[in-house]
Amino acid sequence: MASLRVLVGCKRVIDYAVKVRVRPDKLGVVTDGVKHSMNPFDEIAIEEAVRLKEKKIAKEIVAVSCGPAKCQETLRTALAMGADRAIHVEIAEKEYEGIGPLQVSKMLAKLAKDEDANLFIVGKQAIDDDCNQTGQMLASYLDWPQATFASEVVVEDGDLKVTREVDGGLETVKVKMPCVITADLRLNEPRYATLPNIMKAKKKPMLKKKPADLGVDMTPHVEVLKVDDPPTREAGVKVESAEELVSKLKDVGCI
Amino acid sequence: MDYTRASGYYHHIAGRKGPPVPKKNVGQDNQGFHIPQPNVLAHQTETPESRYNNQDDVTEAFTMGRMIPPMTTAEFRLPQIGHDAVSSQPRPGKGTLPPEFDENMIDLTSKALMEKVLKEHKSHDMLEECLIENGRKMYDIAYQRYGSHHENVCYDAMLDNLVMTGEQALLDGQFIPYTSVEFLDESGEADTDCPTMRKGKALLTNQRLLLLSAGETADLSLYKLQKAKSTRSYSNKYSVETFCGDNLHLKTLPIEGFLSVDFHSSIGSKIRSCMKHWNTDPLQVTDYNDRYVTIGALVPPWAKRTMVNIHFDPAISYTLISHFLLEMQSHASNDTSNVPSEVIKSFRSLLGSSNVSTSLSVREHHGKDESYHTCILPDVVVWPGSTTEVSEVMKICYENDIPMVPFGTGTGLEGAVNGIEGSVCINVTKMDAIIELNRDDFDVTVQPGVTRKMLNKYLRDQGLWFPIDPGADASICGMCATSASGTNAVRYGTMRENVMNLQVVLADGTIINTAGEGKRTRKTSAGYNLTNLFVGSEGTLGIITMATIRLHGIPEAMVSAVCSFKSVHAAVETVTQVMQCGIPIARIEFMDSLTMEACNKYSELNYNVAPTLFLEFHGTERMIEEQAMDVGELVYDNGGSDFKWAKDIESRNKLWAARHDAWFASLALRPGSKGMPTDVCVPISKLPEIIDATREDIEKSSLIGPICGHVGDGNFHVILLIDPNDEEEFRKAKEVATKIARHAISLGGTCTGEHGIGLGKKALLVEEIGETGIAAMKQIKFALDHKNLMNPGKVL
Repeated sequence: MASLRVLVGCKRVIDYAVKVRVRPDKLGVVTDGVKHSMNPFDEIAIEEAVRLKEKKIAKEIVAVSCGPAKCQETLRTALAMGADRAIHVEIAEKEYEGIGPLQVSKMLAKLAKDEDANLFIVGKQAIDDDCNQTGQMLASYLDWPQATFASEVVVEDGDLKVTREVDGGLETVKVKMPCVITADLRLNEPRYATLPNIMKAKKKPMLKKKPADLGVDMTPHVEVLKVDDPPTREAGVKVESAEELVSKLKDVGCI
Repeated sequence: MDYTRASGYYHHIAGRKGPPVPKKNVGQDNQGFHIPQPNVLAHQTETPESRYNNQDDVTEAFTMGRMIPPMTTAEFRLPQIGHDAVSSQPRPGKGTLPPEFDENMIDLTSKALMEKVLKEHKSHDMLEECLIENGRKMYDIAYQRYGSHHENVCYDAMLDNLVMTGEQALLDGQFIPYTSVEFLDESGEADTDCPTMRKGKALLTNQRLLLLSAGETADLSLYKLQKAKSTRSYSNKYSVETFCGDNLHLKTLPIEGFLSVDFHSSIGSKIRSCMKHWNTDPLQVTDYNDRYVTIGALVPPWAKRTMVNIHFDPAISYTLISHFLLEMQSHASNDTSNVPSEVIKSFRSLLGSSNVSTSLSVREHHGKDESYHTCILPDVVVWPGSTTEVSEVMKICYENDIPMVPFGTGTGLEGAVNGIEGSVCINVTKMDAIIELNRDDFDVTVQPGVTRKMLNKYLRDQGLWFPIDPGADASICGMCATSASGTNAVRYGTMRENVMNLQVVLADGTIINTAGEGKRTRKTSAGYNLTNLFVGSEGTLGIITMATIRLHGIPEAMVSAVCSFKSVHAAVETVTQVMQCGIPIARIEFMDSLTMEACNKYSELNYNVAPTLFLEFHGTERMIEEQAMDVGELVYDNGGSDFKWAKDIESRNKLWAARHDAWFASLALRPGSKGMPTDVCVPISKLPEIIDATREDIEKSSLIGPICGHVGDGNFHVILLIDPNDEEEFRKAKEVATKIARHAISLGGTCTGEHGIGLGKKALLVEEIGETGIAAMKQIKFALDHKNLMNPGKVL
């Protein structure tokens, strides 16, 4: 069938192994000189798209990213993993700070229509803002069906059978394409980009766009009031006996 | 406490060695005096009144004691034993004795100890009466009951009655039988003041260690004891020591004067050592039956620094010995920390309070690795945040003669990071920056807190990886320090081949770069290979604070396979042939049927329970196909079957799960057991021979010992499962492990391919390298760390 065009959203975030520090003005976190990489859930989304292509279900994979110029590095990683081409919607650093899932999903929706996509895969959430909104908003702007928190995707009679991770266990849904899928952690284990593929990725096409090209209003709707470090854990004490424990619990009013 | 001062003085009293003292004494020829020997004490004890009757302020302790010649303590400060070569301090001359006694000569520490001994321990007469009284009673009872004199009854009851009111017998009043007790002076020579005590029993109370020896024949001594009144003789009046008759000999050692308690046995491990001023290096134990404890003690009456070796009766259990040692250690000193509080204070001001800890749980965590070796607590744990801070900490330690032990992830298997009593543990995990990645040159520079998994996560979008995989998530610098390797070594080499430069802080705080600052070439022939000197040094030469290592490209494709064989020999033969064909296989791991069974049970898998090979190929699709075909042929030729292939990452991980969990799966074969791993490595052609022999050895020993390993390198492990409380089994396992290691050495192999020497393989290192080689290693150690402060007691 090899006819699907799959779009995959890739967000550039602070690497998950980095210890995040709050900026002195308490309105954000320090990003200068900090290692960034692709949002891990988006890596899973790319991997799933590449596997669909390897199974000859997908024809073309387009990685898209909205953000400052450095997002191109992230897109190159996606290309090295197996995407065919990339679209970068360049947003100035300053402007990028104010936008959220609302604006991004509008841009992605426009791109999906322009590219005539059959499937849009995004990570279930980004690890920097933990919004978990972009996929859902995207589906609603496109008016497509959605299958969120996917842990398995199979094609069945031209439709997608998606296993979702829900609180009580697993839920299996069938969605007609075009549709939006958000990738959960256990969907797959993303591959590493190999050196020859990284070389090849440098030559793959990358289309650059501006938010204005997509006709999306970039006015911020959310204002960040304050960002705080989590409270530091204070040292505990060892108690000698159950009695002492009980009396201490009483002192702090727990019992 | 200033032991040097105390000992310096008392050593003089008892000391019979050393270079001549500078003749500072007013026109007196020192050589005219001699040191009092026990047999002249009788004479000496008669004289104090006559000499000191005018000195009211002389305490009883002194007047009752031996004559002490005048000399200021400063003049008699001893250089530390073991550091003689670097010390220029004078020592008292042989046989010299200064002429006049002066109270000032006795330092406060010893004075207090002696006073306490007098006050709290039974006086000599009372002790003796008690002994005689009890001896008589026991003699009667034993005679009535058994018709002869049962040794145990007599001993036990006698010792039992010697416990004073307010004193508590420890270990539920159990007695520790010993074969002999030797007393050695600081230089390790027999102490003539304290003759060796023969066969007897020891009782530990919360205040004293009572040693009662009756010679070989207890009956005779008891008999003599009855008549003791008439034949008794004393060594001296103030000694807390009693001789009754010819053979019965009671000696009490105040537990407060214990400075160190070290255990020696065929296992070779020390339980505790704080002897930074005092050389109690374990002797090489060759007699498997000889287990002894060395107590570094201030022995009354003069608080003389003495090493007391108690050789345990071979019949007593390891459990009893270990309880005995632990009790002694916990009562030995009220001062829990041997690192002076001023030093800890200076650490705090240097690093901040949150980076210095003396809490017990933290120290417990830093006192051991993942091996069977007993936990030994460091006194204080520090977390420096930079190389400069490491250097500052080490300068402080160097000035104060405090041993240092570097600590990373604590994932070692030979006790190389186990603490040393009175040591500072330098935990470098807070230095966890990746300093510089040179993607185009395939190298990266990391700080010691960076673990291999952290690094690989960091590298994952760069197309590079660091393939050396010892299983545990070890730190890169720790892997340098122990010359680690693992499953991938057959293709990518070990740490030795992959380290380009190291930044090391030496014992005195000097910072060096082994290949020059910032150098990162693939090859060099500039001067000595300092880099590889520190690879495998296990923290005994310096602390690695930065490492530049080689990276490799992530293979484009990886394929794993599992296949089983009818016999171990066929499997191992296959490995040898694969290697001899020069196939660049990435991993080739062997597991015997017992390991497979364990893994099936543990990880709920359904592999054939048969000798099995795990293979992995790295490269491009085409290369892999070729390699797999070649290997497949060899496998079929050797009767291998049941190939399982896995290509994508999830199924590969699942396939390898069995191999990765082998250690814990093996331990689960016998719940509650501990694993003693062997780690021999032989030239690949000798592999079938040694594996066959090893299997035989294990079968003969009736131990459970699954075999698995990185056979592609000629390296394999036997995990001997032992009950940690069963000394007999421990010894058996150690014997088997030693036998395997010796066999490997005889085949041109090594006793350790990737675990290191640490505490457990020191004796085998000597056999492997040879005396002269070890001597050269010791010279290197001495040149870089002449105070022996860097992780002392490990490797050499």
